[in-house]
Amino acid sequence: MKINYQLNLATQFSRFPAGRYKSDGPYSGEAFRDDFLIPYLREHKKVVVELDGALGYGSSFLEEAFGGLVRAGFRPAEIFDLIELHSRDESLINEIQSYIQHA
Amino acid sequence: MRRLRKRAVDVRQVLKREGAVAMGRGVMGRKADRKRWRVRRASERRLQRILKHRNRRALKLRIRERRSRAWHTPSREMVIPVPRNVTLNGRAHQAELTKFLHELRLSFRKKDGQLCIDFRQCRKLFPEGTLLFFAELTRLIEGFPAKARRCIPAIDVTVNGVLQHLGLYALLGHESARVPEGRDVVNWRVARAPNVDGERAGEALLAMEMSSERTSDLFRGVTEAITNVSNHAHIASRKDGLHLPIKKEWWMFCREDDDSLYVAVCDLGIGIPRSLPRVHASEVLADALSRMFGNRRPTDGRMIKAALRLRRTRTEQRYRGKGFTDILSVANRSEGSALRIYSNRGRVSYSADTLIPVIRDRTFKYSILGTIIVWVFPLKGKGHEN
Repeated sequence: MKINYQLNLATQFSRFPAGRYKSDGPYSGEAFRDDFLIPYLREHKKVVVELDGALGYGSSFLEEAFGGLVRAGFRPAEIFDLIELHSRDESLINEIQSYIQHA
Repeated sequence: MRRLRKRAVDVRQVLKREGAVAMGRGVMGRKADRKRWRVRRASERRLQRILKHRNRRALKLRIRERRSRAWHTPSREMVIPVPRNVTLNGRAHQAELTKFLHELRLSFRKKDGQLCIDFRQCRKLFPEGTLLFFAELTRLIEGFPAKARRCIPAIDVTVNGVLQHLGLYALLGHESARVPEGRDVVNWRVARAPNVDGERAGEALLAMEMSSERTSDLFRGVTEAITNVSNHAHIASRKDGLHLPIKKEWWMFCREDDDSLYVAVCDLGIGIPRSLPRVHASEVLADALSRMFGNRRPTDGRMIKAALRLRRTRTEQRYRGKGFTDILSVANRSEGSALRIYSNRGRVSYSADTLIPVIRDRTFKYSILGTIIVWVFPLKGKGHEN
């Protein structure tokens, strides 16, 4: 039976996420999507992504990590059902949602 | 005695009459000639003063240029003096620094002979100029590790301290027993990495003790800048004549003084003016340039300005191209702050101080062969430095 999974980006991935592709650096958006997001989405019912705690997020990282899910085969509506974003910064959540819609 | 005086007056009157007769114009004609002579003499004196001032100025420039040129000692050591002001602000200073870096590259290319960098004339270090010098020197030393090198330390105490604190003296084999101290010295922080290493950049920003919002904004802008380095800066050869292997390296300085906080990121790649035509479709770029600048020539400064406004519109990559928006947004969110981008021969200054943000572009004679992005924030409500 699938359950919800709590994913804290800052502690489980990196406090300093940067870059778009894996060739850019060790903690890129592509690495987060392929090594964390997609496997957990396949195993669990829902993934709750906690965004607070990292120093900041560049647009390249966010677009590749979340917008890249659409290019990897997920539909936008499906992504919104499977992923729940948590952050004190509402604009960050809105930005990620716009990347998913316009990917 | 009375007789002699009378004779003298008579002689003068006689000479006057004779002179007037010789000129053939009478007494009034001689007055006009004297006036014309006086006017000519005055203009000659003025011209001599102007020429003297111009010659003095030309002489000063010639001496300054001679002192800035590299020279060989009898033992074939090449001595290259560092400019007085290590900065990219101002046409003359930018030319001086780029010429110095060019001579540095030439000297490293030569396999034989020792290199000596003379810091004695150096009086002031500015963040962007020092960052460019630091980046070039570290790249050259790593590219040519066998090149014999040394330096003559600076006379100025602060410059000495900063060069030691940044590790430049250590790179050139100079050891100083003095421990760098003073706020002007230890407030310089440096970070560098060969890839998009957010941790290195983040640690340097956290050491500056800024507010969490500003740190987060800057981290976003800096990581976008270094992501651009990884993706665009090294897609072609740098054309510096060195043929070194391509390394997607970046350097970062953070510096705080009494008035302002500076954060600068540098790369030694092909520059924005050369990468822009490779990143955007030619018809898109041509259309954007014609809308922005009409028929005017696309100089390096204008190309940087165009890059700030262009987004990637090729069908298969329309989700990209937001990096410069992040870089600009750092300056937009902080009142009184400014952004300067130097790339090759161009420079763009962005100021969010006014109601409508102003972007000014400028093009210099010589290229820095790379890109430097500088954010300047005022501290304690004071205006920022230019």
